[in-house]
Formats: sequence, structure tokens, C-alpha cells
Amino acid sequence: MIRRATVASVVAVALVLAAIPAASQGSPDALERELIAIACDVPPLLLERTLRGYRPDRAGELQLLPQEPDFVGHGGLPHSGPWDYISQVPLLWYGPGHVPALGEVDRRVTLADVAPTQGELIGFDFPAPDGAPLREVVRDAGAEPPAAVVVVVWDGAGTAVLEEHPDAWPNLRGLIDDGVWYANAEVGSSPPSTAQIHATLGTGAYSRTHGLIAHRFRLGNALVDPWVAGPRYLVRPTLADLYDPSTGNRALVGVSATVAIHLGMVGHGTMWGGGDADLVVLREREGAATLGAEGDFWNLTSNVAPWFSFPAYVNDLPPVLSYAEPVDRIDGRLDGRWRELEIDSDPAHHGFRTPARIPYQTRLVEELIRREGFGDDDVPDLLYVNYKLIDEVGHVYSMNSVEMEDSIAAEDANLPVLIDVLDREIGEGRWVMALTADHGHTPDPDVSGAAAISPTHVGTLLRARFDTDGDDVSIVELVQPTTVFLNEAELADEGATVADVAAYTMTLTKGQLSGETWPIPEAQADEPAFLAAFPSSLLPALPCVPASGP
Amino acid sequence: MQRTLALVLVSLVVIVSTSCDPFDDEDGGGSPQPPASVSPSTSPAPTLSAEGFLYTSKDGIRALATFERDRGTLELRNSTGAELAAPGLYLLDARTGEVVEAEVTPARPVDDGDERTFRVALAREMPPASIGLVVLLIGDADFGAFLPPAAAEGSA
Repeated sequence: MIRRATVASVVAVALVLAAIPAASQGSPDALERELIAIACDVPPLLLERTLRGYRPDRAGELQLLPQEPDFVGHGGLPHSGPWDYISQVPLLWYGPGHVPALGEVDRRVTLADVAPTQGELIGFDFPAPDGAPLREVVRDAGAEPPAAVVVVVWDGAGTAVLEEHPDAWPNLRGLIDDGVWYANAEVGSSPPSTAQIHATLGTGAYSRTHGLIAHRFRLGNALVDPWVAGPRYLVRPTLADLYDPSTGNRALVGVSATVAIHLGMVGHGTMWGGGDADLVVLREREGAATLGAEGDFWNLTSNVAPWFSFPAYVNDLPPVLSYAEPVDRIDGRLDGRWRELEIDSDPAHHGFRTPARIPYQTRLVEELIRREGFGDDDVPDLLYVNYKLIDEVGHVYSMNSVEMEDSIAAEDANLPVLIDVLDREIGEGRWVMALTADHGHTPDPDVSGAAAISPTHVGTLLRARFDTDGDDVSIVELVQPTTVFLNEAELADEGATVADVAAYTMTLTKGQLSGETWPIPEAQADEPAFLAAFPSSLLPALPCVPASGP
Repeated sequence: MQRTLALVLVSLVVIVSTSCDPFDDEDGGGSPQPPASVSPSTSPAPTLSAEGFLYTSKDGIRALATFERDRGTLELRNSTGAELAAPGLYLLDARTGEVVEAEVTPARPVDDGDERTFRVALAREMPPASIGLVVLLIGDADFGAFLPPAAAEGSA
């Protein structure tokens, strides 16, 4: 956790900056030096993660970093920032006969290492831009490759989330000594959201390299979603993109997930030269306003359907409500509810937003493996599975909730079921599984004492300060938890620069930015809202960012 | 836990009343605040060209790239309403993923309403079957991949 003592230095810098007139009337060089000093007050590890997620053509112009555990967000809880509690994730490799039983390994690794490790296991030299094969996992690789490598993502189940509920995952814990468990694994870049990190899993590259740097990024004059145009904005190949054609497309590549932002694991499908239509099962709402919006049946939405194939038989499997009774009984009552939530209701997505979805999806995975023939021949196959319940529960109920405990327990209870499926359908000793998460979650502000900074108020105050020419063009395009997209041309018309906006942002207090869902306590009202705000363009040249790292 | 209850209520009300999930990772969703410049979450099915690699955007960019050995052409039509910086492109090798640089000449911007044809010189010969992806650059900005030729892709 960042030292609270730094608040004093932030206040001091903010006071200096407040004295600098806006519109660059002071020396730009002096202002830039002040902003570099502010940026370098951020712990180097956090800057390193941020730099790995930054590319100048797609990023917002202003970087924001609240003081941990504060965060920028409203409505549902976000998970966006470079802090350990979001970045650190479990990473287990398990595969009797292929992966040695080494237990816990402490060195720092990232999810960019997953794809090259898969490659090494299946005998394919995958040129990962930022990752490398995990030497502990591949120690015995080479004799006979596994028939399938299965990557399982417990979406949102970062290390901090699991540690919050230490008794909820006995099955996962029980596998640690039988495989390789990286106790110091992290996603690699920030902001660590679903699209970016799933693409890191697939490409072995940090988001600055593979291109999907956020859930909204700049493309020319527009701000776009990463998968709005299918795989077009993913500008590096995945392991599957390169490996599958190398086998004459004899390898099977499949995904069981729910939304397109998971598809960075698999890649481009037929958009890639020589690629075929990999099997993909999603459950996404067509035209949804947010990127996590799940639908009512398994499908592919129109933006991704042209590049992948969808096995329609998955919608003929038993419905999710057929798995609901154990969920209903979790609290000892058979009352049609999971805790307080009516299971067969719209808010519960008629069972899909409850732990019932976990066995329901695993049944789908079993059917996919059986019907498509994963592991049936001597060409190693790749299968990717994303279980999203933990992430959804984290957004709605928080990582500290009893619903989170239930959700982790449900995914953990499913683990031996999935292993049984793999043993039965692919064969004992013929597969390897990597289990990880794409990010952690934000603690309940009532538990952490965090101040929730309203992005709406950030935008409102920036407009009030800098939008003075009376036209209908805003200087603020979008405020996200770690960045602000600014209209630099309009800002120039106003006689100001991004540095001026950063300097002003550093003078804002928590009291000015208090939202409605989590009002900021009066005692914190006069504290500075941000540990750092600085132009994104300063990031690559900061003297305080570590030069190297995993 | 009063505020947590408020969070749950806000989230569930949003789900029911707006058909909008509160699960967007980066802002937590729930209270929509994006401006009009944010694109919708889905787009029409892509249009392919049998003539070459096609790039179209709803903003008014249409580009067609064709290649033969280590050379090619890039036709770019600008209907965006503003000048476009000089275009460029690069290729990704289908087998290795390696970036293959390309020089696009003349390095000139394209005025709104104009269509220009540029010459492309690749860093090395790239037979059609060796092209994994072709990526459009406008100035220094990466605009994402062209769609593959219809004949090669076949089904989309």
C-alpha cells in the first residue's frame, strides 16, 4: 500500500502548482519538471505497469492515479489501476506427466509468459514479444507433447480476492504441490481490464504492443471499444494465430467464454492469413452499451461472427436453471433465492448470474471437447475457458461479500469436475491446464476506507475550469479511472495545454469529487484527490521508470 | 455495509431498467457517462473485396491495399471531413508474426474529399500466402487491420 505520508508531499506540490497560472503563462519547462516530479513520486513498479499499457496513438492524454486504496469509479465497482491488489493473480500449471510437481515458485512472472509456455509444451516456438517460456513448467517438455493445453481463467479472481476468502478454494490449493504455482504472478500492464489481459494471454505481449490498451481507446478522432470491429484492432498474432496454420489447421482451437473482450486469448480466426474459423462460444448481448453485457443464450455477435465458428448444439444442453438447486440451498433455505437474489429473475439473468452458471458452462465445455474431438489425435489442441462469475460478483457485491465467497467456492468446486472431464474425454496424463485470472477486484470502500472519486465530477470540474470559449466542443472527451481523453485542439483554442490540465487536476480535493454511491467522508474532504496527474506523453521518458523487468 | 447495499441496489436497478450491465471493467459501469464520440459496441458485418485488402471505417476512410512480391499500391479515399495525415502500413508475417515494414510514397496527407494512390515498397518479398495481417497507419497512429481479400478468406 502506498505510504499515506506521501499525501503531505502531494499537498506541497499541489500548492506549488496552484500558484502556476493556467494557460501556460508560467514556464512550460518549469511546469513539466514539476509534473515529472509528481509522476516520479509514484512507486516505480506502478509506473512500469502503466508504461507497459501505454501507447501514444491510442491512449488518453492525461494519466490519473489516486492514492491507494482510493479509486475513480461510480455505479459498479471498477478494477482499473496499477496497484498490486488488481495486478497480482494466481497462476497454476498442472498436468501430471507433463508439468513437474514443484509447488510454489516465488519469482516474479507475468501473464505474457503463458502463451510462450504453451508453445514450448506443444513443441511450437512462439515468438512472444514480452514473455518467455516459464522454465519451471517446461523443464520436462519435449518428449511427448500433451494432446491439449487448456487455459482456464477465473475472471476477476486476483490474488487479493482469493486471499480475502482463504477457505473457499481448497481444491485449487490442493493442486499447488502437484504442479507449479507462481506466487508472484501479475498481469503485466495497467490498466488491467479484461480485454487487455486476455490479449496478453493470447499474444505474449503487453497491451502497448498488442494494441488493446483499454476498454475505450483512441482511433483517430474516435474512441472505440476493443472488439467493436472484431479482431481488427489486435495488431499482434496470438499463439493460436501462428500455431494452428503451422499444423495445416489440424489443431483444434476453441474458446468457451461469454463476451468478445475474452477473445484476445484466441486471436483473429479467419482474419489471419491462413487461419481457420476457430470454435468460439460466447453469450453476448448484441449492441450492448457496456462491454460485459451477457445475453440470454450462447452465441456470437455480428462483430466477431465472420471470423470464428459457433457450434450451435451448445444451446441444446440442459438449461442453467437445472443447476440452480444447490445454489438455492447455499444459505440453508430452499426459497428460490441465492442469498437475497431471486434466481429465476431478470436481475439474476434467470440463473446465469448465480453460481449455477459454473456447472452449466462446464457441461458445455465437456460437450465441446467430446463433439469436436479435442485431444483425439497427435496434433496438440488449444482450449480456452473463461468463467466470469467472480468478476461480475465483484462489480456488484464487492470482493468482500458473502456472494463472492459463494462464487469462489463454486468455481473451486467445479475444478475437480473439469479435471474429471479432461481425464475422461482427453485422457489421464494427456493434457496440461493453466489456471489464472485476468485481474483482481476493488475492495468494498466500507472495508478499505477508500474514497471513490467520481469521474463525472472530474470531467465537470475540468470543463468548468478550461471550457470558457462558449462553443459546444468540450475539452473533455471521456474520463476513465486511470486516464482522461482530452480534445487537445479544443484545449489549444482555450489557450491551455495538457500540462495545465494536469496541474489543475492536482489541486482537486476529494471533497470536490465525491460521488453519490460512496460519499467521501467529511474527514477526507480536504485531502488531495490524486497522488499523481500528468501528461501521458511524459511516460516514456520518465527517468524513474525501471528499465527492465519480467 | 449500508453503502454496499446501495451499490447492489444501484447495480440491479441499472440491469433491470436500462438493459445495461454494470460490469464494464474500467468505469464499473452503471452510470453511463461516455460522450457521443464513443462508438457503439457492435458494427455491421464486414465488407470484403476480391481486389485486395480492404479497410473501411464509418468515419469515412476507405483504403485498398494490394501487393505483389515486395511492392504494392495503397488507394485511400478520405471522406472524414478533415485532412488525413500521410498514410502508411505494415504487414505481419503469417508464419512468424514478424513485423514487415513498408515505405509508402509519396508521404503526403490526403485532403478531405480526395482519393490518392500511393506506392508501397515492402522490406522484403511477401507472397500472398505469407501475409498474416495488414495494418493501416495514418500518420503515426495505428488504425488497425485491413480485412483480408474475399477470395482468400472465402466465407466472411
